[in-house]
Amino acid sequence: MPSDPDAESPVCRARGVAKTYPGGVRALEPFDGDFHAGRISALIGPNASGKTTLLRVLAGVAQPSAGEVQLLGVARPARARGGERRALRERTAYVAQDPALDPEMTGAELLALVATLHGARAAARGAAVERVARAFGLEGHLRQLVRAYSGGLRRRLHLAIGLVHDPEVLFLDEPAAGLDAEGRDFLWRELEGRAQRGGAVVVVSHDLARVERCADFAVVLDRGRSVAAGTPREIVDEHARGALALHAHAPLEDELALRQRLERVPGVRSVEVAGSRVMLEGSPDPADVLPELAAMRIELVDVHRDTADLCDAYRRLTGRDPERLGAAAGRGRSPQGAGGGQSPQAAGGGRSPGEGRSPGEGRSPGEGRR
Amino acid sequence: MSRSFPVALAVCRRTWVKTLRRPVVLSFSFVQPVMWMLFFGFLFQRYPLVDLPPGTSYLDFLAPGVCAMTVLFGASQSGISWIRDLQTAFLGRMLQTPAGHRSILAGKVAADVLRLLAQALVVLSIAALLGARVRFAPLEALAALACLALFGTAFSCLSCTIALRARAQEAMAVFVHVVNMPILFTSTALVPKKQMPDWLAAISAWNPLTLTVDAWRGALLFGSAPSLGGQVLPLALLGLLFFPLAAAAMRSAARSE
Repeated sequence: MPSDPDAESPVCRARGVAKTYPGGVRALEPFDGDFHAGRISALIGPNASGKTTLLRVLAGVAQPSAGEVQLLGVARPARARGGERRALRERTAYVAQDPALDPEMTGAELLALVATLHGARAAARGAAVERVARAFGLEGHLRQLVRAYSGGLRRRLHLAIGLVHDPEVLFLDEPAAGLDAEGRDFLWRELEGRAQRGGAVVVVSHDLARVERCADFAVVLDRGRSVAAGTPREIVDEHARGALALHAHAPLEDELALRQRLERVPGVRSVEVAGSRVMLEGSPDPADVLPELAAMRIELVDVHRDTADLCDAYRRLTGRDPERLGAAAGRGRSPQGAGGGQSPQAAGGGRSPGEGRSPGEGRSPGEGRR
Repeated sequence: MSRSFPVALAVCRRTWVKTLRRPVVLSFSFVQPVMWMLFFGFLFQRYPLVDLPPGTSYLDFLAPGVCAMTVLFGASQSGISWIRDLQTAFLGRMLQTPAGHRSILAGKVAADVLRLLAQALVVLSIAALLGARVRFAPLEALAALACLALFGTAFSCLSCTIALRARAQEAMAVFVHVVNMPILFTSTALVPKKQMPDWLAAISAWNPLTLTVDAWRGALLFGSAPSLGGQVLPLALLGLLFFPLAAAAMRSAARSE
């Protein structure tokens, strides 16, 4: 499947690409990056951080205001014409965030139509439609008019249509938005399968737990700037610190002694004491920390732990809370991001509990059903 | 060509499937021509017609005109479905594929024109049921049907152009009335040219609907074939003029999304 004999040369290469929209809105600062075959690359960052703009520029859907993009060996893919453009469109897919479907047609009709527009012959079409329908759990819904589909099913169909021509390079804009847990499983299984078979996947995602588990490369964007790039592990190692926030029953008195004790605990990088609260930066084991406090007769009312993971790195890089999709995937994170943000007041518990909950979580619980 | 044909065929089928799924809309399109035949037919029953074979009634004269009118009104609404496709972003989705925008447009226009020809024949059958006499000259009728198809193609493309540029349903209602009514009333669809005031006759000679109606009526009333230079070619040229306009509008609609 990889078209390039040299596995190291990127499928998509960006050098100094920037985008300014009419009216002078600077959506993307100059960006450099390589995206390889056989990998899932994730673009993460808060809203309006330039993820979609970068994705569109990489996919050749939008022309950058500056810099160069090379996609499958084609320079300036957004300006490609004729056979070159046709080849790019056959080998790549750009799946926009919002479903683009005709509600007056059935799922099967839409899939077959788009497959035909991609040049699939009648013989190959049926198999292609069946393959993507199975990949997204749509088999039982193909004969229904899209008008009758639930929001989640529409999103699945939208993704299936995007992949019906079996592209080598895939650009997806928040494909998991609006999908239930089952839909997200279908999605990531498909993406992982494609990467394993040598396809390249570039995906904008808010699902940081998934990105940490499944992506081979990630770019963190903030206000149009790339603030970190590398494997999720590298980003976590470099930027995440983790934290343990302790809330004592009464204001802490012997601050200096407390600080000295806690700084000796393995894994603690720094200690901050304010009033009745203690912030330990790093990833200390609470089992090591709690006896120290007990020895000082400090009674705790609350303990919060933030592990050093991609969410933590994201929070420190962007100063914003990530969506908590990870919690739904069974990662035991504290409900209150005690270590969040770089500002002391955030560390002091300025966020209300549950603030970081994902709006997508628990949406349309029945959408996977018939 | 080998790539374009399956694309056009698939878009054509899509258009038909969607049309057949709304039988009410389809059947409503027959109400108007029937009403024209009933109202005008009986209103002008005793209207004296000059230059027609003796025994020709006004309904005989009117029936071919109403067939062409069905094509005119149907074709001018052809673009409305693109507005829906713009709203659902599905047009952009189709244009994101390797398929050429011209093939997609051709499929859509072909579907509409073939449907309109079928509708014109149904209207003709209804006219026959109402008592209109039609002469059956197969080859001449086929050639005249081609004129009807060319006229339908041109107007369907014009309608697509307006729809894709205006991007609003409201604009189409205005288009249908502002364009169709003058075209209808300055043509020979309802009144013979000989019985028009001179200025109107001069305008009607340039009216594409007149060319279409005359070709169609010639075949049905007199069994004569349409004139190549006077009717077929001008109508073909009109189609060749409007198709690229619609294709360009389609392209810019995709870009501005």
